[in-house]
Amino acid sequence: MTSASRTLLLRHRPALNRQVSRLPIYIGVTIIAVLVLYPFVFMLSTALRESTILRFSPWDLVPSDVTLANFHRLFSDTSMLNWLGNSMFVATTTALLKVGIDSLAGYAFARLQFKFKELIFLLLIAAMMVPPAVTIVPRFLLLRDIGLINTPWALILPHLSYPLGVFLMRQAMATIPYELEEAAKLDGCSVFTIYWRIVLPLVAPALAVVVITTFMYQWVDLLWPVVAITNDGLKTVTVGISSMKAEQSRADWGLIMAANTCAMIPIGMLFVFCQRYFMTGMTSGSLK
Amino acid sequence: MSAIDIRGLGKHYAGTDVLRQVDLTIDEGEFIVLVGPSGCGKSTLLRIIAGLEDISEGELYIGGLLSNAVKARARNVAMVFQSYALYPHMTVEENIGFALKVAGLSKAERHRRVRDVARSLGLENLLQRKPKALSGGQRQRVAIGRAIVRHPKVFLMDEPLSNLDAKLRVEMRAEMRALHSRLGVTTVYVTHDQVEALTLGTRVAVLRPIGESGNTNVQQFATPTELFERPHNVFVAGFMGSPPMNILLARLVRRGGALEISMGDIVIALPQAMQSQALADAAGRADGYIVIGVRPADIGVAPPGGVAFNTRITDMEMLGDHSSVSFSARTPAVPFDFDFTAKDVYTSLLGGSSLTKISARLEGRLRLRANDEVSLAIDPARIYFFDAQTGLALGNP
Amino acid sequence: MNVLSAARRSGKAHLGLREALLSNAVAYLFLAPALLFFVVFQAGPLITTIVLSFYEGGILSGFSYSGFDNYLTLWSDREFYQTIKFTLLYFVIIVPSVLAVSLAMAVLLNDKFIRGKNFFKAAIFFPSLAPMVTLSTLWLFMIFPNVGLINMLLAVVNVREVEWLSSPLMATLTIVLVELWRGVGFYMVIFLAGLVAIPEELYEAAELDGAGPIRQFWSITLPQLRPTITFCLIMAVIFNFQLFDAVYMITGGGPGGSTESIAWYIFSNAFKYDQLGLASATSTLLLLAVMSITAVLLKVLPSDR
Ligand SMILES: Nc1ncnc2c1ncn2[C@@H]1O[C@H](COP(=O)(O)OP(=O)(O)OP(=O)(O)O)[C@@H](O)[C@H]1O
Ligand SMILES: [Mg+2]
Repeated sequence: MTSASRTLLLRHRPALNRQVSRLPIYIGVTIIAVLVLYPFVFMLSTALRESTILRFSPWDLVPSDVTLANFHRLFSDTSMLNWLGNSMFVATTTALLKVGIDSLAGYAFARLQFKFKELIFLLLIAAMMVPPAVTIVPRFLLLRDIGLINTPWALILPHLSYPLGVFLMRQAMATIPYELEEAAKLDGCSVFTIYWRIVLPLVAPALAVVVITTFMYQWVDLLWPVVAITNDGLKTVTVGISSMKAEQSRADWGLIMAANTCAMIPIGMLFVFCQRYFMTGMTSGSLK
Repeated sequence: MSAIDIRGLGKHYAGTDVLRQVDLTIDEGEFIVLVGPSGCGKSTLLRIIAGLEDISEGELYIGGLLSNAVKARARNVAMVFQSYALYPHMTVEENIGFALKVAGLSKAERHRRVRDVARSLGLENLLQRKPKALSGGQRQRVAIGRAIVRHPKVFLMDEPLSNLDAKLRVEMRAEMRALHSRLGVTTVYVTHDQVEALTLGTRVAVLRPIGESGNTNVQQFATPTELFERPHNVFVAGFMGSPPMNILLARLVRRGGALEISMGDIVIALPQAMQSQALADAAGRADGYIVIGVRPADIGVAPPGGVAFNTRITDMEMLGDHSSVSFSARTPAVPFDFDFTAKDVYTSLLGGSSLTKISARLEGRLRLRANDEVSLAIDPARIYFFDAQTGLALGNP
Repeated sequence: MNVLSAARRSGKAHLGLREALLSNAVAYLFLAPALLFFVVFQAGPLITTIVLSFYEGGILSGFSYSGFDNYLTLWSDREFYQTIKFTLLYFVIIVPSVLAVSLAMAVLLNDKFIRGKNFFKAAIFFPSLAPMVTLSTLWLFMIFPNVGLINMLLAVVNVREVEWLSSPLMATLTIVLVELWRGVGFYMVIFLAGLVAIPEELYEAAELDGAGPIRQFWSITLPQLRPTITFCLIMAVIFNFQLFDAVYMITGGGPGGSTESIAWYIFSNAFKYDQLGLASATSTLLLLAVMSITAVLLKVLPSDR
């Protein structure tokens, strides 16, 4: 039998057989998926049970006595509500400001002619590689001098300087046919009107990518908020949780898991509703 | 006052000339067609009129006003793009009304005008659709609607029919004519299809890519009839007309007192009335050579006793009520886009192949086959003559 | 009409210098906000970092010019030496493992006959969106003495309790495992996007040539995926130089300073010990390291297929 006819036979094997031959793959990825997700389930389960029960079986995932006691304590004994509010404000404001700023700049790079375009673009690319820790000291000194340390703006403003969104916008806008913009020009539009009424609506998915990734980044960031915010009432969720001393042996696991559950709620929602946007956001960097 | 006046216009991109010394005067209400082979600068010229490209040299007047530096959006011209360029995120209604919205018209006024236009184009039922949900012909209509709703001074169209299938194209041609006679707006229309040019234009400008030494792109700017009957040079003669004119290098020979055209083995005597001095002089300057053009339809089966020549058919296509027949002449062909500005032009033609395929359109249902001997005739009065050194017409019929 | 006659009055035949300036001005208006933030929060601080690296002191003690003293201090600092050692060890483990595991998951899930692919993809991707704070907390919980899941599992197979955070190697491994948990899904999604772009015909041709799945992986998948691998490698280098959260949450740099990442070292010098000059010198070195490694990677690894 030639290899070609063997392949044909292979291809026409019944679907069931094909699935059976992939059993090892199914088993492998299922184990990985379970391992990866298990801690989150555990978190939820611990958050929802009486925190006095410390010793329990790892198989016992569904608490028999579901209670919101941990959340009650969380909201009354800690500043969790404040932290959630702060994080929400910081992440939302940053995302909205950033999408405006980046789409304007992205349009300039995609469509307008100006001096030093290539040079400025190159600088932005280079800046993407710089770890935030490199500039942390001057950033702190600057914001302290203008009195913004210990305000939400200390978290919002620096983030507006990260150039990734500019690239995403430029890339999305470069795919719009020139003729659409020319038609708009003849319809009487100024450059800004073209940007506002033609280009922005057409890159709506990319705008969503910038909004969502910015929101996520701000929501999970730790290093800079730890430096810039020391006032307990102004902390973000991550900083707040990090101060809950999980490494101590007398840790209040119920409370800690409830806090982490709160931190995961917006992420879980974005994940369920907007998953494709992060995936495009990530992959558009890798494929030209 | 002319609607558009173009004077000495030139356009170059980083060293290469695309347009040179273009002069066109377009009157109010005309339907002007710019036609020419690919890359001859038709789109560039149209986009310059629209204000989408800036001008390298020369002047552009729209409605009598120097408009070189006027922004596209202030020119009050409308354009239909080849790809239609409909805004994908807007409905048909919003697409058509967009210019009015930008101009700040009230909602009621916009609504009224969009409805009027939609009715005239048969788009009433599609107003709430997005462009993606339209057929090619419907998109085309929306693009036209978007242009006419503004009552612009000038319509510009860049190959608007080229994305449609053949049947729809013929229908839309008729609609374009009707639209133009109804609205009377000055129109500049770009196409590379000479049938469209002849059937739509009140006047047609034939453009040619600017060569190393060409003076201007515009080869002739005239009515379709004039272009067809009195082409200004070999390029226009060869480009306009379908099937294209046979153009070949021939010799003008004097036999006895009379002039004859000799195309290798085919010889045609010129009647007395056509033996002009100009013809003889032109041939005299070019060692007796002359370029002649014969349209396929002007070759016929020889009537008994006429001026005829015998030839052997090399190929034949039966096309219903007529046949397209090919035969050969022992003389070099002249490509329609031959560069006559070079030196010793006809000698370079002589260097090439000396066998030319001539096609003829024979009326009636002929029972001919390849390799048959036939007797054909050319009406001497329908022969076009061109100077073999310059390619320019010599007092044509 | 007004605009037209105005243009005629200005008598200009060509778009000239004024228009060129004007179009520059429009472009810079669009760029202005982004440039402003870029200069104030990226370019400016970057230069300041380099300048500050030549100064000694901090907020409380004040700054004084000290030449290369900070760099000399680093050179002889045992803690900095430990930081470098940890960083190297961490890189050697995390970069290959996170890329290999994510590539393997991507190849498995790219099989077109796998059902429920989207579920598996989403599940494995999920942790990369979670805050590192949460991942670290959950991980601490997993390895918690006695009650933690991992130790319970180990007890089932009769391995005695592992002291996860008491030895430098185990502490490093703990951090690596958390980062792996977070990272695999991220790179897997990028690899999957790269895999989808490989033309199906290549595999069909190879199959007709009698190449099995493993042969196909080595001679088609890997070469075709080269640009994606390069991209992921560079991302992994840049990301892992930023390692901070897991150290902050899990080990606090311990035991005995054996898990201090560079970012942690900068952070603790700057904001615990008020050694802003020294921290800036470290930042400058970090910058040089990232830039040169990226440059070398870009040079060595061809990014085209
Ligand atoms: N931006 C540009 N830069 C350089 N050359 C250009 C540019 N735009 C057009 N050209 C050149 O100008 C010439 C004329 O182009 P144009 O688009 O006007 O041709 P056209 O007559 O419309 O052809 P077609 O029938 O193919 O559309 C072409 O040779 C083209 O290569
Ligand atoms: Mg064109």
